[in-house]
Amino acid sequence: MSLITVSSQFSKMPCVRRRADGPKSGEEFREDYLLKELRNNEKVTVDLDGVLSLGSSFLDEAFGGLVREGYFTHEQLKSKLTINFALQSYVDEAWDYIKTAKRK
Amino acid sequence: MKRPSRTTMELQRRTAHRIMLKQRRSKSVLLGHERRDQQKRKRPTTRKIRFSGVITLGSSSDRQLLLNSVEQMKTHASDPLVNKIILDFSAIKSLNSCGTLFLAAQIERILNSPEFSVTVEATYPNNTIVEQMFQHMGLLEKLGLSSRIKKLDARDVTPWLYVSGYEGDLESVAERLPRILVESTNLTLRTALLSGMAEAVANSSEHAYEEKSDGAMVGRERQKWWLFAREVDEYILVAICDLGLGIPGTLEANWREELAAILKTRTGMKRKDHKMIELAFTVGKSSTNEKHRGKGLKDILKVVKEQHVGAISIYSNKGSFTIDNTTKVNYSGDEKSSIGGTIIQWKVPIEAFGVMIEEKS
Repeated sequence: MSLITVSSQFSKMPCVRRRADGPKSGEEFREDYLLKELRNNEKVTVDLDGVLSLGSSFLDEAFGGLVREGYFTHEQLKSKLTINFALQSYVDEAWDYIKTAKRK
Repeated sequence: MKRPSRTTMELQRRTAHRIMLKQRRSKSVLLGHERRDQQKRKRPTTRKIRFSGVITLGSSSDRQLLLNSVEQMKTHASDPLVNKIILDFSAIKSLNSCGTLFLAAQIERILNSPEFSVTVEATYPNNTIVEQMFQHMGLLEKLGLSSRIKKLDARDVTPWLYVSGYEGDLESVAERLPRILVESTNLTLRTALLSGMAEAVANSSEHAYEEKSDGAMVGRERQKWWLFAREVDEYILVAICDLGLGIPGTLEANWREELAAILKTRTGMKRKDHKMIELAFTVGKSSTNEKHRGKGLKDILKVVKEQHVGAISIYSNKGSFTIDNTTKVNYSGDEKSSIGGTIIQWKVPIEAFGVMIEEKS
């Protein structure tokens, strides 16, 4: 099992969607951190505790992007991925992006 | 074909000569006049822009005076025959957060953007609090004025955090934010506020700037945001500014079809900027024409709509939009002139954040 602690390994204030929009983007997190762990491990936990901001742009691109870009399906992620955060509404929001994302 | 007679030819020649003389005469008179005018204009000139007493976006008349001065500043700065502009701050007596952020952003844009090559100087404000604030923000130094006040001690000045950055680079801000936004017990509220702030920055990077028709990236200087944050008395105040297309501009430019469809179904709805701001919180398609984008604007309203605390003020182009849970007075309307960008300000009572985590433990 793999654990990614976002606040210490990536950013306390992730912000934008795409790399082109600026540093610490959802795309950067997905491509450089999350994807690698998902490919190399049976189970991956993303721990968001300690992160100060969780905007929709970041959440949608980081998590919804996994399906949209064709890396995984919603069903595969349900058995592989765990998202932790003290506020459940943000976890639900991330899962909602995964569920509603359509593969390009 | 019949050849013209000698008399006709002579007549034509004389007429042509008369016209030429007339043209030469009038040209020479005009040229003399123009020459003097041009010589006068060719001399590099200095223009002074005087700012009025109150720097705010909150009242229509003061906002208009501020916008007039900023417009003057931009016009002179882009005039090739003006080599120096002097910003006269002497009359400024009062600073409001949104107005000051807007003014600082506009000045920095002129100072840093390659499209303006003019020298910008300034006069010190007569009011010492205003001088302290401009010194605290680093504005005087950027305008070539030395810091005259040895110790900044005004309680209306020192608590302000003023920071600007490019694109979505918020990492540097995290450590400098008022501690209550980072360490208070009401995690729901502080996450909502900071997520809204992050989304405003993300929005300015994703949507606020026009992409060229060939898909080329716009200049880095244009992708900038300015932030004010303050913890004092009973409130936390956070304001963020970008000088992009503005929320109505983004809707008009990029969501044209969707916007037209909405306007068609809502009889009597006009393309007023404040209406466009209201619509931007509901449309689900973004400037990239990808359905999954454009989800962020709802984050901006989370504090006031989901947590039901504090107030939010949004100024975007001509539009003003306010929800105030404290006074219960909401406002949505248009002003006469556009600010050419977006400023969003949250004002939240400190007590709503709970206590600091270390105090609790």
